[in-house]
Amino acid sequence: MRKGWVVLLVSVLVVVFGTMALAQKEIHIGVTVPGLFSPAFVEMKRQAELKAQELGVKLTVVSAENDIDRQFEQVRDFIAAGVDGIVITTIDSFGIVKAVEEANKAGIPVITVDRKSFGGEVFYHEETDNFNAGRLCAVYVAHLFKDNPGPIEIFIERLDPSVDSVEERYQGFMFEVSQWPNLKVVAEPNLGMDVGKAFDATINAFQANPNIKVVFLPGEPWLSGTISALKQLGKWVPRTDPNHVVMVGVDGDQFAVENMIAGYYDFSAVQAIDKFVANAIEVFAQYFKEGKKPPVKERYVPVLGLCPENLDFIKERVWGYRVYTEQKGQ
Amino acid sequence: MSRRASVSRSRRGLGSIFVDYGIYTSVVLLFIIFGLFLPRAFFSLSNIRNILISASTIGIMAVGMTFVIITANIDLSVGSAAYFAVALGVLAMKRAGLSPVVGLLIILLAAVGVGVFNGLQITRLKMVPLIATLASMGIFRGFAFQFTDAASIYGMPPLISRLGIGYVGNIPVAVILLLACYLLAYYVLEKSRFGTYVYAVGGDREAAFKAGINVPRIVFLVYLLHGFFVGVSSLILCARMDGVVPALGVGMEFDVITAVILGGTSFSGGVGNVWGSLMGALIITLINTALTILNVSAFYYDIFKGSVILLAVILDTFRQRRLGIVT
Amino acid sequence: MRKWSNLFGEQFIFFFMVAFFIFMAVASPQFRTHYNLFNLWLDVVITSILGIGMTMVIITAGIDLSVASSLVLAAMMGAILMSQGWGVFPSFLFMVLVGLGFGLFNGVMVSRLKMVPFIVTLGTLSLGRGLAMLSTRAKSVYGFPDIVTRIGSGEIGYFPVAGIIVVVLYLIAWYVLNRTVFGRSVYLVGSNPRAARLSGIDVAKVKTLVYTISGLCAALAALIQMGRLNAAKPNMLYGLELDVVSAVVLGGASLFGGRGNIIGTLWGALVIVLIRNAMVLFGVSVYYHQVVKGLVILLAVFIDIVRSGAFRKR
Repeated sequence: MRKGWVVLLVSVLVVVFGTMALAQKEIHIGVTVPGLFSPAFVEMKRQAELKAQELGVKLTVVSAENDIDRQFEQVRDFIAAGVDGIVITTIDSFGIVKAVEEANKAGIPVITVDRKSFGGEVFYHEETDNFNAGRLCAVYVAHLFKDNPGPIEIFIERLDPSVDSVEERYQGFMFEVSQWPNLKVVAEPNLGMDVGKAFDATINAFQANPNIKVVFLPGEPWLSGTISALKQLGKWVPRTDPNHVVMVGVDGDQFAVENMIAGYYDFSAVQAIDKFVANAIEVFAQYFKEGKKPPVKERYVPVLGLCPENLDFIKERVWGYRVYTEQKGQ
Repeated sequence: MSRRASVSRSRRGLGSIFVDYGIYTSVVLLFIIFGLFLPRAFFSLSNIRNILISASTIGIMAVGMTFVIITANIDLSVGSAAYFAVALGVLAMKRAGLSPVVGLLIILLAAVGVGVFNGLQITRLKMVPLIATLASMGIFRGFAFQFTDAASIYGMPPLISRLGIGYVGNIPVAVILLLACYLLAYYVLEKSRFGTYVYAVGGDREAAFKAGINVPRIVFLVYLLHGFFVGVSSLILCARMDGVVPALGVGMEFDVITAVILGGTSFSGGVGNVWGSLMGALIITLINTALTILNVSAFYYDIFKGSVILLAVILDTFRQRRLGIVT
Repeated sequence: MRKWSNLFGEQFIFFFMVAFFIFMAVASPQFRTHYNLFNLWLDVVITSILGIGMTMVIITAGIDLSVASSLVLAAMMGAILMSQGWGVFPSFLFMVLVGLGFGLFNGVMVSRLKMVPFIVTLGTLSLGRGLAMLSTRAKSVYGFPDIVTRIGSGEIGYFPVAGIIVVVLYLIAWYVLNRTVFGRSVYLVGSNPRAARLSGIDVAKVKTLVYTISGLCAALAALIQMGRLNAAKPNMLYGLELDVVSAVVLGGASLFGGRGNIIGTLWGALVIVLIRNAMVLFGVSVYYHQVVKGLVILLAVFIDIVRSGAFRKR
């Protein structure tokens, strides 16, 4: 009796998976991203799916959950599944080399976005500059307080030192801060990649240093927890208020934009990351359909500095603004 | 009336106090030791308030987990259950336009639903709790990912915000909820017949059967009750995140379980009390708080946390040895 | 008759694995390629080597949540030494020392200080990760001598070197657990510690040994991991310990101790890897990966429970 159920279940699985396996032969691109905890990566995925639909390309997107070993497995899985092209947003430029080499051996072209691979042959590469993104934030802070002898106390939510992209933003920020004697970092806790820790870390940082004037977020996914903590502490006041705590961060996501428009957020280094994978798909499509190789092998997209002063001028170039307006319309 | 072996105190004085109330003294000791590094910031009412605020989410989850572990079971899915519950609630409020009250109810009910799922797995299908809840951990997070497309959705109504980060006078609502949950749990566990059954089922399952207790039903109800507490904690998490984020609750289960075990509850069942779990939650919170306030370099974080946990367990093990409790 | 069924592991998981394998071979042409099968074997390696130590620990009614951390710590240590110019063999020796030390620490905590394995190994999990992070300040190390990559991802004929290593290790482990006095005492310590003590077994020593073995396994797996990616990074392999526990339980071991089949763990690890492979080859949405994995694990354990009768002591 029980055996019957098992047989039924197995045959259902066979039918379901079998039909999926026998899908038509279109261009199949495999994409691996570091994780979907970040609105930037989620938007990147969404734009990629839209582009794939537009071009009639089959797309498989997987998330590596910040684990380089898993990303390696995913690339190998793509090779085994027989994809035509692979797009990698790598977690670690060294760790991905072996994966790229294997794809090379299998004759599958690889496009890297946002982070380079330090080995192997790459078909095309696009990135923005994380170091300068962090640095721009510090430049803005320095500008705001240029007439203030200080010390201006700064709280940095340091996230995870082993995640190269956010770590570089931190390095960029610190580089600039070290040039300004009136700026002082008083708290830089390690939050891992756990968005939930932002709340507690903010509460504790302000407890130890009640006079913090600036909060730097190397990644804006941590913003909502930070805001809630500031609200709980009664420190969430708009820019016009003298007790305002300056908020700067990297990414330029919809939440940052929303808060900037509302008058609470001060600066965002916008990473134009949303179109990276979509562009990669387009490059692959042109190559596979028409045999055209991309005109340049590497493209560097500059970081945009978004602040209330220039918001109206450059908002169309800010992906977070686009998502914000789309979500508002819902 | 919590289950501590009543051993006549052969030693008087400080040593004896430490032995009997090990976990409480550990908390106070930690607080004092950390505070010595930065007295002005640490030894203040606002810091104590902040510690309680931070401890509330893990603390409330630890209440339910205490029940679960007393019955010699476990639940690894609390983090994913929280994410699942918050995701459903946020989707209901933001995408389906339902009212905040409905959203709140959905969060609570979803968390209870996960508890029901786990409870059924364990009682009806006789699954091993570790594996069943390990599987749930993946299943519910995966479903919530699918429903939300792994997006971060923000913008919670005042009802939720006030519950999570609001105040009643000077006291944070989160802390009120924390204390309310603990008082409720204390009453249920120590003063009601249900509580007695819970201890009995955990202590000796066979004997409980023979005494006429409906063991599967008690275990199921425990998971249900636990789901409710997870739901309350999820409400606070939702308010703190001002919505839902895909990484919500990841890894929370280990902190919660650690808090309960530190508090004196034993995996073998039949032993434990909720106030110990509260102390355990405070220890974990103290560690995190101290690391930030003392601006400990990011690289030493895990080393520090692991060391303090090991130290706390060593102390607690000595305490239990002294009292003759076998773990 | 008993010997054979013992060798194939708890029968159920073996047949489940074979059925899954055949299903995949039939349903997916890409599955059948040498490339894919080779990689499957490579993927099983890490989990199954860790599974050797974990099986022994679980048989003694314990658990070791720190295996992934000690693997990563050993890997970082080895990586640093090799990048300083140390030879592979001395670096590996040091890695083994690290793994043994780590395991010994766990073992002493559990057996002499009588601490709860779950919490102890949770603490050493954090400690291990922290030390690994500290060792390179969170940076990755890249580029090891050829022999390392040969071990981690190289081949002998059609077979992966690492795969052969796993088979050999499992044969050794099977022998130790089923044909030696030590192996028998491991089972007895798990199922009835009092009886074990009465029959003269040094329970504390047995427990210490199994955790030390677990640490040793972590060091072995670490070397292979280094060769896999030709790189080592402190934050890799989070959550691996849970996969290892799943593999051991799928293989027939009971978390209450006293039961467990080492070969079963190998099949359990293979099932977990097959699940992932299936989802990728069939293009299942990334969100559902966790769901499917959880459901398949539940299914397998459930069928096993049903098959062995619901009157297990619960």
